[in-house]
Amino acid sequence: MALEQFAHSATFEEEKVKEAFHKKDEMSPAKSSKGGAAPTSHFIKPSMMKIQETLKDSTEEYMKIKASVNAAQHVKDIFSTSEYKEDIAETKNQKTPHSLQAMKYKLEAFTPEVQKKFGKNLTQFAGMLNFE
Amino acid sequence: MVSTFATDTADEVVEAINEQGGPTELSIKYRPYLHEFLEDMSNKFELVIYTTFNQVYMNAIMDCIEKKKKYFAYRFYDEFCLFANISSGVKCLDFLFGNRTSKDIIIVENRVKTFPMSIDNVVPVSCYSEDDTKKDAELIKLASVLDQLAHEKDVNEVIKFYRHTNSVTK
Repeated sequence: MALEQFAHSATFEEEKVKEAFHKKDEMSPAKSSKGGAAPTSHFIKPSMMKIQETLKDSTEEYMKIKASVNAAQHVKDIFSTSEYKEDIAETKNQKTPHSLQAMKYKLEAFTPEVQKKFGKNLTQFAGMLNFE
Repeated sequence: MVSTFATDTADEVVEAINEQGGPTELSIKYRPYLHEFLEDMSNKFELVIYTTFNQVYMNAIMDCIEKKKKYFAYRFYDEFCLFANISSGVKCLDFLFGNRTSKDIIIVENRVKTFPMSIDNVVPVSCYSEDDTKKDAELIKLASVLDQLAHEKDVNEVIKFYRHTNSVTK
């Protein structure tokens, strides 16, 4: 299934997504959202995950606290943190937005020829482009 | 009515600890009220995970949280991110959400810069780091904000308003 077909499909189905993005044969080292390498995840299975005990939560407690939350104050708090401001500033100042926008257009214009050349692999294709 | 919200897996909802002595064994700690939050939100939104972690790592965590996809409709991982000359992945909504429109999508994310093309979809959330002296209630506070956004016709406009009103960066 072509990527542009998927993007305009009326529904969203996981199998079609996988098909569209061409699954890699081997796992590549992922980067964590903090920018570092993710843990050695190639061999991780759910059975290897240990869930540490935490204080017991209850729906009643959840609802009670939620009813007392000042949402407007929380909005103010989360949108005024230094981390958020720095991220927004970085997003605006970095050189990438135009490149990203250009890449977006290129990806939207994914042609069968391009898909054939790059094996429909979005990550690989994106990596071929010079971002900066 | 908002239809979708996406969140990163690890930093917001759990704290993953790579244990010494076992190269692959991880222990995870749920953020307080995680399941209450997901139960609440899954009744109001279509939930999607979108993370820069790889599929195996993501699934290991997600299968602990929900064994039968009880909460999340879809899981997206590093292969759905754009990696290039950027220190970490960039996530793009446009390719993933089909006929969903931007005004209906809320992203819960600790790093807004991972969505450079969708900053007006992002509701920021702090990372979870356990504090023994005080029980973290961030997810409950987040739920109250998301409840309000659920009734908005265009979340982009609302989030843009929040951003301009509360941030010095305009």
